[in-house]
Amino acid sequence: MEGRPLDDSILIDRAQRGEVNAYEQLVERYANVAVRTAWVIVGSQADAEDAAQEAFFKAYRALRGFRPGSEFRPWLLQIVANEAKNQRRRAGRQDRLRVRIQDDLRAGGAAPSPQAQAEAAEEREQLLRAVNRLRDDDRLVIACRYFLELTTQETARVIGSPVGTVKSRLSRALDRLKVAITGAAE
Amino acid sequence: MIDLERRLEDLGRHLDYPGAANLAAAVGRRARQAGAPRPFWRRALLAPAPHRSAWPSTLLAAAAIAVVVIAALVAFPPSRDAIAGFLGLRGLIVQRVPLTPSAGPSNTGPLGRRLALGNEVTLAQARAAVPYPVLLPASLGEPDQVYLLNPSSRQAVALVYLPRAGLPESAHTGVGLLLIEFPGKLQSAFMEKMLGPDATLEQVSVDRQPGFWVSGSPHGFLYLDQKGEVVDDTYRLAGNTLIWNQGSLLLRIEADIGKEQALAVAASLR
Repeated sequence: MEGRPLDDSILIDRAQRGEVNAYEQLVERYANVAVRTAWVIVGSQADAEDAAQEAFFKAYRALRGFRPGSEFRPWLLQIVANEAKNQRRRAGRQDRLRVRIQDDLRAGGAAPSPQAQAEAAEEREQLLRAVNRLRDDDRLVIACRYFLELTTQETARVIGSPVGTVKSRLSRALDRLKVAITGAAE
Repeated sequence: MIDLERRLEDLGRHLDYPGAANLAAAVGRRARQAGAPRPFWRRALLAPAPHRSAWPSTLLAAAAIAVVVIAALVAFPPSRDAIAGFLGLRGLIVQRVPLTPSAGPSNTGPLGRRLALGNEVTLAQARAAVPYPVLLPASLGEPDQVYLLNPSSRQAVALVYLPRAGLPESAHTGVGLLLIEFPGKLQSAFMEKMLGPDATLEQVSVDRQPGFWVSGSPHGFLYLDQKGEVVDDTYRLAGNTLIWNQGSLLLRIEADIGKEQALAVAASLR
């Protein structure tokens, strides 16, 4: 048992009894996906961190209402998404998804060749611009599925629609993305 | 499309995501200051937290839409099967708690505030405000009062029928029959029922749709907000209740009547 990460359910049970250390382990476990989820909604790093922190805190306070046996991550991500959407509304900004290519990757580096690397980076930037031209809900469902690699259930929680409609929404978003790419290329 | 999906996944791996350093420590600090998470039924019975009490209760009612009955899943293994069977009801959580819930600090003032029903409106206003058809029990006719629980987003309507022959005044609501209609297509539960050991939960069906009948000793009942948090000052005890899904709605009848009569009212909804 030593060294093996504890199950969520054990950590949740302990956190429900007020063991903050246990909750901190849960936060560690899901910090990245929470901040990233908030980020694709609010678009700014600082707002994403604020929204994720607020969401984790609210989730802690609501933890006694968490149903034993259900999955923590989708539940958490729904709280994160709600918090991020509130944050976005408060900020009064249009919800542009401000994705940036990492500088070190854009500048090139290891394999294969600097030129191929530069081309790949350029291709990614073009795709990103097309994604950013999409309407908000299309962009969000694409970000959930392909950038954050969330499950269908988690995506449904984040975008706020039934599980059964995630696939069709994703497929429509991809269709529109194709149009956006083609349109930009012409 | 496969190629596009592959390119999107590749893009996802090259995005400049924000870091999450120190998040656990920051959340941990706040959690230690706040103390242990309180169980629903304790939270409901305790005085509202200071940051909540600063809100007008009508706002709280408007921001919230769930109902709680009292319980503790873990403490009562036999209740688990019964409860699992009811989880199929959209918008509702049922829990068992180890003690029969006691009455919380009761709200005062007009009916809408006392029962956390929100703002009183006319039937026509309620119908115009919500995106679903408001159903009326044909056996009772038009309600005496109508309330809109959440005009801004999670719209729900409460119909009040005053006591009359065949509908005695309920000790818990002070009215003859209270019918609440919630839109069921919500992502999170907006009702939670907390049942003590003496409350019974019986699975029923209304027009072949799932539901249940709660009777026996009174149960605790509260609204949950959109994040699933209990809205503190909406806690109250509730008497006999029939709750079921109908179409996209979650419907709830509370009245001091028997199961058959409640089912007959439910069956007459149009």
